[in-house]
Amino acid sequence: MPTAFDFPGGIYPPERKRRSQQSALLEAPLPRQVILPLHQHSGQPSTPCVNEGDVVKVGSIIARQEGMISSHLHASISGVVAKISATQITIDSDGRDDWQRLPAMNWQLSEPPALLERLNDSGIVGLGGAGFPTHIKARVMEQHSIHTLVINAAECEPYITADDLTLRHYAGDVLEGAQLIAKLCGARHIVIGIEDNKPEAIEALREALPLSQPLIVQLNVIPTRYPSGGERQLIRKLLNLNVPSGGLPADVGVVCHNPGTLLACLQAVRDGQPLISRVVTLTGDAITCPGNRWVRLGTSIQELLEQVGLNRAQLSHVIQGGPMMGSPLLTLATPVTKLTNCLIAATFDELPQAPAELPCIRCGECESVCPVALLPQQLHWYARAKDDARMERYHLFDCIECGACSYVCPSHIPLVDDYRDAKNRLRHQRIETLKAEHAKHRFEFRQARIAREEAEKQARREARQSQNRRTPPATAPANSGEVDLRGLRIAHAAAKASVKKAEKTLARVAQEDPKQSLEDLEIQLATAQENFRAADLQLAQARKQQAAEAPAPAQNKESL
Amino acid sequence: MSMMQASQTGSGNTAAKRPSTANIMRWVIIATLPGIVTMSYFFGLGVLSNMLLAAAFGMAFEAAILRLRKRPICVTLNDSSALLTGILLGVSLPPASPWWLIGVGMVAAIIVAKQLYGGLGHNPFNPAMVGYALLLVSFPTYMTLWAPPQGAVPSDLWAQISGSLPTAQLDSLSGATPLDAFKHKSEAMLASEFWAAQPLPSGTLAAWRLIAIAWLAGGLLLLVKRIISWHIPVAMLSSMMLLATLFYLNNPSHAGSPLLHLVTGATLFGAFFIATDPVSAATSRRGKLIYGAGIGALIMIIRSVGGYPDAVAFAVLLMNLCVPLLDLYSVPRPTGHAARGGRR
Repeated sequence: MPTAFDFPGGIYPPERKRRSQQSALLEAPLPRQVILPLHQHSGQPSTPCVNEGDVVKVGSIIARQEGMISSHLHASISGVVAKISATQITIDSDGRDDWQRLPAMNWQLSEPPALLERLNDSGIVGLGGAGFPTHIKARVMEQHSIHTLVINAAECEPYITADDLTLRHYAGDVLEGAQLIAKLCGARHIVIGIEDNKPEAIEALREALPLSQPLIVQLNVIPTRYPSGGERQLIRKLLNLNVPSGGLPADVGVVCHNPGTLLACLQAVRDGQPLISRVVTLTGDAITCPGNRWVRLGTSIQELLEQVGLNRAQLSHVIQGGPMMGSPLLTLATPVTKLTNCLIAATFDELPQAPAELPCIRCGECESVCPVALLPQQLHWYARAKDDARMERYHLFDCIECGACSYVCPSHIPLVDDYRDAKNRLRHQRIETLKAEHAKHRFEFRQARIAREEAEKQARREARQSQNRRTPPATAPANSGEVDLRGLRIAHAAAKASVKKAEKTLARVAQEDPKQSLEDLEIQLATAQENFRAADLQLAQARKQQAAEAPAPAQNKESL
Repeated sequence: MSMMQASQTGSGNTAAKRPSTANIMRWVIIATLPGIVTMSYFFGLGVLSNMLLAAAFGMAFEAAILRLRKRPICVTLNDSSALLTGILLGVSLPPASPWWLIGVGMVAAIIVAKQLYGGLGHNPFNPAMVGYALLLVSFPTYMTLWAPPQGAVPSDLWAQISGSLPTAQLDSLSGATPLDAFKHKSEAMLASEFWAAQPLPSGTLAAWRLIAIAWLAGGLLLLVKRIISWHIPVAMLSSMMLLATLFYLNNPSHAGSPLLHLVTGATLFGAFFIATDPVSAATSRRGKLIYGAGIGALIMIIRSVGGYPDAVAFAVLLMNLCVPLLDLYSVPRPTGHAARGGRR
């Protein structure tokens, strides 16, 4: 029975963590080739900034962020860029592993803007699964007052032990990373939430806790129950705060990060090492030596699994992520990305295929396990009937897709798949209904771009003229300068405010629903930025003009 | 989607598998065994013949309709739901009912109440109870002939089942359930006088008590195996006992005692095997409590004020009608939604 300090529902699936917990965290062998997809994070894909044949080092930026919610991509091995396609960059290794690090920084002495820039330059995104750019998340304090940083070390999904092993080996570094992020977002408390099935990680944290400063870190061991690692569930459990529906943890003054992300943040700042590798759990009964490995991003999953003894005869399927929320891989010829936390090579007996679906008998088991207290069964009927209005009224978008309902369903109905489909359909519909609006936004963007280019041209032209003549343009009316300047200053401030506003909306929407298309909002932001640049140029020009006009009377006075 | 299923990979570190839908049906069938055995002990082979006939009709009708609907037959029959419906209707009918009576009941249960609405999971009414209610209003003579406890093989068993027993002889078999007899006692007679007159053949009340305990045992098995939740039986029995006590205190000389209402008739059978049918019951926990309490209250109201001595079937069907409304108004508040204001 849930207590006041608890979330409703929850399940106790077999944990199956033991196999990958036993061995130490090792480095995977350096791959001969890496394939780096341009879209390894939420938001817009990055844009390549290298050419085929370029020589790159480990840590060189090979693709730049596109728009605000996006992330840089770095070469994870040294070598030659072999191929650039629309979706990915392939690098062939030269086997030397030459590094190109950013200068080391001391986070305690550095200013927050410099630290944020470093996180952005290092391509850090949330490594727990959502892949949200960390520097955007760290900027929440611009709009919210944050009191607590929660380290989400619950790792409640079966099989996965990546955070467990990270904490055993890097407890001190993870805590330091947390102090760094706490400084950035202005948090005054740090709380770690960890499930009680990780005694060694808890021990490592206990040892590291007294050394962590300046903030005191509170360790909170919670009972093992899926999905206690859900952001909202954990915040409820640790702090007894309810994140409002459709809101963010920041709305109740909390920011959540996973240990892997915090470690990556510290490494980016302290060592100048961008995000080029991550800890991946390799497990499943079809693997002979399971465990956790530091894997370079872009390593082929097939090679990786073969290195730990993949038994092809027994293999049924490979799952990326956990068995509850992950997805089966269609092909093993895919690379490890920033979001790959676990690979399960399952045998047929281990994770049997679900038997044929039977009709729902309304047993209500799904309702009793739902951690959000939704009515999964009701949603199922409406999803099958494509009754989208009803689905929204039954809070479809509050579903965290944890899979607890699918897990307990005696009729083996893939409930979460239905909900995902329905959500996608609704997102699509929203875009369709706003199509005219979006077209308007694109048009406005083009207008703004043209205006900005015009302003730039004007500025260049006048700069050239003033260079040629070395006299202020005679055409300017004598007293219009002053009036213009005031108007321009107001326009400039308004443009700046609208950029801020667009950034705020974008950051919020991107975090609320990571799967939503952000294109329209990015265009609105770009429009605001173009307007701002144009206003900036015009203002600068007007000031120059005024400066050029103002001294003239003074000179006259002197000459008199 | 979840690649793990409680029915496949087990739950918790004990890895005990949770039952699938077909296994839920089978567990319910297993849980009816104590009741069936006890009933057969007191009322003879007629109970088993009812069940076998009803189950056979049920499977046959289901297969026929599935064939017409061009749906997979084997997979669906394998879920054992038609079998269960047959068993539940079979034990509700008077022992050794004629075959055509059972056939008509199963047509109503499987074809009308279940398949015409779309099959398993889509039926708004409890199929077995639709069959029972139809028979009760259409063939009251046959439905109230409940022979007193007798030997394992009643003398006219075959003649009864085949329906070839002359109508005149029917009366000689007639008996009544204790509730029926009590309901139809004359107005002038006090309850104490009625029982003192020993209106029923000896051992009838004791037999019904034991049968009630057997159904209770089966129900507890379902609760322990977590096939059913406690909400509906507890709510139903509580509201029923509360009303029975009130009626009894109001008029102890004429109303039956709460204990009489609890152990006779289909009360316990209904509480654990009929009202808990998940398809036709409310789904949310709050809804289940209201649904169960409603059934309990309706049973007592019909028994005390209405025209039927038992009334489990009518009470369940009436509450089935209320389920969509209950589901609509007992939607739990998801986490993260404000406690007050706005739509719940």
